[in-house]
Amino acid sequence: MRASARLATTGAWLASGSILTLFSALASALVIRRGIGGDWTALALPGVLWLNTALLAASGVVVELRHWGWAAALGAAFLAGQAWAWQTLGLGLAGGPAAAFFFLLTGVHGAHVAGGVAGLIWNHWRATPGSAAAVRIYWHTLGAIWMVVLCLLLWAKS
Amino acid sequence: MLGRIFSTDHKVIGKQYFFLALFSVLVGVVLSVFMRLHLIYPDMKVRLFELLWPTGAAGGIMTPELYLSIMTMHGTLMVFFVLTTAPQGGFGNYFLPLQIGAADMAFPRLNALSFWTTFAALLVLLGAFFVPGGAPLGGWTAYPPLSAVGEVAGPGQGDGMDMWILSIALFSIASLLNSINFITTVLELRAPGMTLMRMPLTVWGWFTTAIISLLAFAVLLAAGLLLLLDRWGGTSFFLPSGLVLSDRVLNHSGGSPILWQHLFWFFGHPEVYIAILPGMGLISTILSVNSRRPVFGYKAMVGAMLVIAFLGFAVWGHHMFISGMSPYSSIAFSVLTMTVGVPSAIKTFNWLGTLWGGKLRLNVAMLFALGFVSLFVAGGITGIFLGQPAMDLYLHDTYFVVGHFHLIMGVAAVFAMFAGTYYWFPKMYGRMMNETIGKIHFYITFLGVYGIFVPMHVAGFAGNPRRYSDFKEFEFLADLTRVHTFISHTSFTVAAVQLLFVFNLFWSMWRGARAAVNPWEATTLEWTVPSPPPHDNFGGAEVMVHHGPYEYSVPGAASDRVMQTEEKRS
Repeated sequence: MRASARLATTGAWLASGSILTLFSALASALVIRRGIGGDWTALALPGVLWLNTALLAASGVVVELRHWGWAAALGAAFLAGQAWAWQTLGLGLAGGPAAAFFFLLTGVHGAHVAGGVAGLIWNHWRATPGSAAAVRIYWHTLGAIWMVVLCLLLWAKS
Repeated sequence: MLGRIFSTDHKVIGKQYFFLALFSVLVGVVLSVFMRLHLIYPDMKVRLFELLWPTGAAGGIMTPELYLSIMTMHGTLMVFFVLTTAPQGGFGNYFLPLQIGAADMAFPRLNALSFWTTFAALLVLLGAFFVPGGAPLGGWTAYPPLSAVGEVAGPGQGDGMDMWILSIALFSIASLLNSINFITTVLELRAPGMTLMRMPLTVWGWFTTAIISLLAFAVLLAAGLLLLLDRWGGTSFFLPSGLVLSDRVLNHSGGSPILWQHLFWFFGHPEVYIAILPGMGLISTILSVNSRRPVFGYKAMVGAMLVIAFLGFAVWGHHMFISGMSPYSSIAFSVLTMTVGVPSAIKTFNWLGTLWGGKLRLNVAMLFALGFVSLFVAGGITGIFLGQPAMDLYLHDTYFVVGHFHLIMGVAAVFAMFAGTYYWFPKMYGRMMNETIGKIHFYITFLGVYGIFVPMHVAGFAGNPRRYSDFKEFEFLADLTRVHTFISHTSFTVAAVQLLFVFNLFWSMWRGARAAVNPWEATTLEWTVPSPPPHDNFGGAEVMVHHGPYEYSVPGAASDRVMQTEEKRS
């Protein structure tokens, strides 16, 4: 592997570890908050989340094929779908703890995805071995984290 | 000009971090002098206070709210912008690539981005002094509920608190980027022959610190986000039901302020090791160089650092013994806390073992290194008191705690920075700092800090609560007036003596005696290049490492040191 790609790979894995820790902190806050408050109410998760999950999974495959532009488009579609989910939830940020965590987790994840889309677009125009390696790792990390977030939301909605 | 300011050279960035920390520490010290002055002369009209804070100190007398905001800013500046910034961002950036034989950090542009984000964080924090209501009052730990409800909790808890959270969030992001850079550099850019076990202990210190930062600051960022949402978004992560403030029931329900404590201290305790681990590595080096002996038990030193880093994540509960946690949890946290004593004792034993039988050179760097060992032991022993729930019930939130953490986290780490400055200044500027001024600086500071912080332990034992803006209302504290007078006057002296250091630093930059390439006769790679090192460090030459970092007084060697780059004799 070329030196720049090796550096980028290591850096991207470390960044992923840090992002994972961020989500672990948020997840443990959810688990504790759900247990102590006595005010947790069931949340009807918008169905569009399943479509979004499919879009993100597809983008992961496309990234492996190095079709950066298509992956960016799928990532942007995922973000649009998440925004749609925010609209259709029917509750605001202050609409109880379950809704608060829904917005928090999807929001923080979405912000990271937005950064990933920017990286994919960058790669579409001028990919280097380093940026290709880094964006690939970053994107798959976000995909994996979304699966965990989705499971957490499904668990927490009851 | 812009290219020089926004440089991507790790040496320039290291200096930028260093001077940012120097500025912060000066502001922090001035704030502490204000506090100590107010504590012993609460009724004295100070014109300067009124000039600086026309509303907080109308008539020159500090209000309790202003006192608390000064305390908060002192703590935040010192913990984040001094203790976290100088050892890692400053010395780490400058010397890590040099010590492993690299031309720069792994990601130079990311490195510059980290520094400028830290710089922005500092501006935002200082900006809190100038927003309506002034700086926040909640201390550097920003405990909810009072940090989460806004201005109703005090003047600085409005805009000032928002600025604080934004500043800490920016700082966390900068630290995360910085740690990614440090770890990647150590893993990927070591010169041929520089195996992990040939790295100077300074590099091990920066490396373990970076690993801790990478995990701890992510959690702080999460906590800060939740706090912001409670303040701005109407959520109830940390705010419980039925909270009454100023005769008003707040419209929040179900949250827990204890949740913040868990998240905060999961960051906050590792933060202590972020401040001290680079210092531990540096002190090992300086003791070794100046006793002309190898570091005693190098492998044990590396192991102890890693164990300290690991245990750092398992002891956060000892900050929460009186939060109402289960006594069983308390025992678990207490035992784990005591366990930190084991690697700490290994380190201390090995430092003494390094000195034993050595040919000691008592230059200023060495004196500060010895001072570090002394402070580390003193501060560590008082930690054993506090690590026991039964003792902590009494001592929590007293001056005992203030004395303890200032000794071990504050002053010990600052002594490591002083040692580092005196030790590395010749490499950074090609000139020597003045040893005589340095020794005066050391002896007064060393005696002074004990004069400040040991009596604080006494006050704590007598039940003196911390964070009170004046003691005259309380009869049971009347006997401690003289103790506080002594502490304050000692602190004024110590603060004044730091001007000698600042003078020495800047005077030596232009007027100090010219330094040789390797004035301390050390063996690590930074002493093989000119002072200051050229832009690309080693002039593009391939560095080959043949030796460990501490080969002093090797039997049969030509001189009393073997440079790391020296080729092995066949």
